Amino acid sequence: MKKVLFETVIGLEIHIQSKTKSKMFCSCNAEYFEAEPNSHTCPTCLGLPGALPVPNKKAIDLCIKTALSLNCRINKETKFDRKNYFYPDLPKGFQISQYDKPIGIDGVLEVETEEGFKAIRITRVHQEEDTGKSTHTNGLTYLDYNKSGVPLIEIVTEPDFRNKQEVTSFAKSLKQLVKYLNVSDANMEKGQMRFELNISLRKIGEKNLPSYKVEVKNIGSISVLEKVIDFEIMRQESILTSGSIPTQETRGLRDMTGETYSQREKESESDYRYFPEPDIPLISISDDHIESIRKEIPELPYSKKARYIKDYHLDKKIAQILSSKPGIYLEFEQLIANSSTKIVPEIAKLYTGEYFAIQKTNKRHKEFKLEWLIDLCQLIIDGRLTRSTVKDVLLKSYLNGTSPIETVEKEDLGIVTDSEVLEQIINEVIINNPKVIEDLNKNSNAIMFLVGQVMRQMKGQADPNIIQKLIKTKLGINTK
Amino acid sequence: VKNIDRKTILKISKLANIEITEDEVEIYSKQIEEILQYVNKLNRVKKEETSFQSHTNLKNIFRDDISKTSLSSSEALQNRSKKIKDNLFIITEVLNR
Repeated sequence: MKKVLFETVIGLEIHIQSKTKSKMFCSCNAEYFEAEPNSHTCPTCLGLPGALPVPNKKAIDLCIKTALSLNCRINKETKFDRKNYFYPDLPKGFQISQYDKPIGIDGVLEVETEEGFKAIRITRVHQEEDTGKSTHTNGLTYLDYNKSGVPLIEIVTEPDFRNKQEVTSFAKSLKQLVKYLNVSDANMEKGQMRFELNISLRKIGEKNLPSYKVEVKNIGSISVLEKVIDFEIMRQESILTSGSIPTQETRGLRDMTGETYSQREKESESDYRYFPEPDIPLISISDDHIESIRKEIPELPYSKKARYIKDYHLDKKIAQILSSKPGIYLEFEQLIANSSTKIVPEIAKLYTGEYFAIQKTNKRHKEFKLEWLIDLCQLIIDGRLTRSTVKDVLLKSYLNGTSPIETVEKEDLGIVTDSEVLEQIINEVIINNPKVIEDLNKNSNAIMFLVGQVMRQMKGQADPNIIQKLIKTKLGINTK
Repeated sequence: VKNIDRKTILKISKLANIEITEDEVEIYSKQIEEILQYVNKLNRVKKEETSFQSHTNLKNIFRDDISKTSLSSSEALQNRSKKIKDNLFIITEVLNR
């Protein structure tokens, strides 16, 4: 039998916990992680009768900011809706969410893939509230409502992903984006970023969406997300190859291996009986307000990386590291603020290479002035320091709190320009290696061995080009 | 045309998490049917003449992001069932969603 080749069709729903002090609709503390159970609750988030939800202004603004940076249009007239269902993690009997007027619609996020950049369309970005936490053991369900009412931003994509790599790249970009914007810490260990996967397969060449869709909820990490995709592709492929069509259903996650299982039938959308939340008046977002939020959006990681490569001719990997976090790019941009463009690649290399390595392994150190990195670069450019001694100078400078120039002088680490010392060593090396000198006629590369010997005795504090010239002069070899 | 049959009533009862008796199925079928017929009048209104209107003239009612003291856990748990463990609400096990 001819093997049928399938293509994966994936859409994502992502929930991101907004970085606010208080909950979405009440003033309870939103920081629930490891807090005493049921210590961050009030009549509103416990769903007690008569409580009135009042939206958190900051949370709405963070949602607008996220939507804007995902290139969404903003619904200037927006509202909240009730999504009704009975489950004890929602004591009100409904979740306050958004239905037909989400804050953001029709966005796009470009992600880096193996074949270059790909645009993933964003269907919607809306604001809602988290539910409480339920745990089940021995016939009982235990409930903690500290998480109930914590603001969540939901981002829904179109089914634009065709493989696991695209999904992973998107998830990482989105995580970086919301951290960049200071919208969320997106700490997955704390459940601040969660995924829902919609996955199905179709024959290669088929243009229409598959006739079924499998949903997997509550995926708490990118590595598990990858495993679930692998598992579902295998499972669905074997059903399709046998001539059947996989059931349209919601599947649960058995454990961290990515294996899924069929869950009981869930409510369909009409069963949620969405209707406008009568306790919260309509929301109008003015153009002025949208623009003021747009102004707060910093240059985003992808643009920053592209600019570093274009303007400073930086290596792709170095540009990636530099644009990855505000803590890094802010420091780097401050560092190069007054330097000429020419030396930026050298500074970037030193900063992300030797400097990061030393910083990581030496927790205890004296005060190190960042601009010393520029002095260090200047020493290299002026030929006063060789690449091999840079790390040594930087380490001593870092540990002792002395400037590189001071360190070089004090520790005698600079390039030896005293030709007498150098000449003496070269003479010794020539006398001690008669065989190599003989070889020189047949193999001109043998001279590098001599240079190496001299460099070793000089402990790297000499310029190899100068040594080579000196040796050639000594031996009467033409130095053109 | 009848909109409500026995099956629909049982489904609503399930979604609402309220058990009803056979007699009640009859009663509610009739009542809900009547309500629906009445509300159906809305369908005769032309769509372009309507837009979503709020029941209030209020708009943009927000609060600043300030966290205030919550109820103490003992206050929050006042109406809990008799069982108690680690300040958690405890109920008969419900299936995992």
